[in-house]
Amino acid sequence: MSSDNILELQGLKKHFKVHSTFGRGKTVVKAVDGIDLVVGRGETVGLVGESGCGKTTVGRTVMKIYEPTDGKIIFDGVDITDLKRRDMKAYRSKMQMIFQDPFSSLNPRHTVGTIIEAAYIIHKTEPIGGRTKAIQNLLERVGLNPEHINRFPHEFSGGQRQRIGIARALALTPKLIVADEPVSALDVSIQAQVVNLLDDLQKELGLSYLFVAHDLSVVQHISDRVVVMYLGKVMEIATTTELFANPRHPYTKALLSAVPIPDPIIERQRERIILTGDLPSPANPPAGCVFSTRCWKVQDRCVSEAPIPVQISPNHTLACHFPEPAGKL
Amino acid sequence: MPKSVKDAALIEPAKIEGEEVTLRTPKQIALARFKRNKVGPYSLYVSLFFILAAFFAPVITHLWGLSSTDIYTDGLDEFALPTGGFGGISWQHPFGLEPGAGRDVFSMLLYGSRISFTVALVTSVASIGIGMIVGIAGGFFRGRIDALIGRYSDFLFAFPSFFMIIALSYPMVDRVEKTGIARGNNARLLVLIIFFVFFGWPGFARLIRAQSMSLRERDFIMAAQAQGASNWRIITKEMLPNLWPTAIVFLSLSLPGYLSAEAVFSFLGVGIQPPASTFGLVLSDAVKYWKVDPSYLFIPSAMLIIIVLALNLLGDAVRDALDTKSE
Repeated sequence: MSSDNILELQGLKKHFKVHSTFGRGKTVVKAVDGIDLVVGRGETVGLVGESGCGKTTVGRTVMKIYEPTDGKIIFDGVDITDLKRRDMKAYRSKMQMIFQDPFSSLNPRHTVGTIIEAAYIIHKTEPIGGRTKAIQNLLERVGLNPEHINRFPHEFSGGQRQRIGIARALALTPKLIVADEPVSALDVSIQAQVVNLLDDLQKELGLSYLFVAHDLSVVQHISDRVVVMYLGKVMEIATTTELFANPRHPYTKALLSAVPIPDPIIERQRERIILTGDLPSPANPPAGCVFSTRCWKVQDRCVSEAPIPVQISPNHTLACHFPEPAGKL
Repeated sequence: MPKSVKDAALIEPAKIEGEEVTLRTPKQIALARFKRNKVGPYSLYVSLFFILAAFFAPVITHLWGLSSTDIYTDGLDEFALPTGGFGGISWQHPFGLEPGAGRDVFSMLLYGSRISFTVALVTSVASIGIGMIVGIAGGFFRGRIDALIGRYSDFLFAFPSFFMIIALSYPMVDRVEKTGIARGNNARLLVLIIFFVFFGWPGFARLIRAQSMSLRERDFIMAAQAQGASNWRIITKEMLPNLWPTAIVFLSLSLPGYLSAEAVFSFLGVGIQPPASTFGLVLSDAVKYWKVDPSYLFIPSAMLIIIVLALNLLGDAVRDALDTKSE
């Protein structure tokens, strides 16, 4: 267990039990079904996948908002999987979360100051120079007017609210920030500003990000490594340049082919892989490879045997029996 | 893409200096909206007028040189009906005299509205208190607690409360008097309040439960959890500020409801007994005289209608002002 990593997930599982309304029928939704993942210090790991593949659940389970069903969460060299609420508090300050919807993540009845101050009250900390000063510095740091400390969330735009959310996450000087689709609810121009802010903060404060997103271009811009998830399982992990240049998993390839290229000539000549069918229900995932129901290269082995993630090169891990040929762009 | 992204960062709309926007808290916004409402302020003045009149009933009757217990027989004729037009209205007796006994209607109604307001206010506040605790417990913690509360309130909703109050009122009053907590009309008042609260809280609890459930799923609750806030802190600091508006609306809408409910039960002879007087009692007495002394029926009814209407309109205005959905 190297201490180079701020976060390590080992076989993390989160299953939700769903009770049916009548009778005692009980189904288990396997939202996250055994994923291994590492976030290095100062690294940004992008977690991508389509809606319902469990990427948000991973983020929330890491934050211990959901109790993991199985597996281990190792944060900063300490196993926090089974920590009780009370013991967990010490680690809460070192990992924080940024939320998707800036309109629901700020309490409409509190001022910006109260929202950010909550972190200090909960952790009984008194920053140097006083809380008010610290909050104003934070606001300034995220590009807001420090005089707006007494304003209410409804007086801000979506991008500004997201900045308040970032300031709240930074209040306790965390080491890891789990960003749950932090820009997908914002306009594209505002997205760029927020992404750059996150970038700057990382350089300045040495933060690590677990960046959950479904927008591949944003992920490409901000991530050092990318993890592709499908139906609660990891399909492919690679450094960003490697993954975008050399996708080996059929699912990754299909995902990348959906990203529009802003050049009509290339765009027209490009081969588009269109997946047929819907995402299978995580309550009843397919046997063998979870992607087998929609894969165009499916063979008998895929249906019977689940592929195990294999490291094919120092910066590329893959879970597929019949990967795409390497090297071709 | 990276290049254009950096360019976009130069346009930072976050800091806009210069024009100072006036700061408005959610409370101020609600207040401004309330004032903009045409009916709101007037219904508030009317309600306040009657509430203050009831509160200062002893002072007002004393200044008027009246008493609610004195009998003014010289104002009655040989059939015990008030002499003079409109039920004996005069400067001395602004609402006339009571046929039969000969008490002053003005002071009777002032003292009567005191009782009515007390019942309505105590019942509403108690229902809100219980409903708030139970509703949050059910909506926030879910699971078994919620199921238990839900079934119990279903039971209370389905219960024929009206008949139960009528049927159990006498034995209950008897029991309260035996324990020695209160006697006579105080005991009857207490029983009425207990019954109203007993059947009244589930309605509010449901409202709060539904709201708590939707608040619980909001990201700011999750943010508080991620920061390590205790459940107590989440409930008191994050949820309660968002639930108060509902409580205020419920209070202002349930006041007139309990006010008229008290009148109904007194009218039916279940609530307060003479010599005390409330709207219900005065009206049930006035029904006997409506042919010979119609103003004795008209004046208390009009006053009750005005109070209930004003409180209802006030409640509507408050609800409109606090409705965050139209923001």
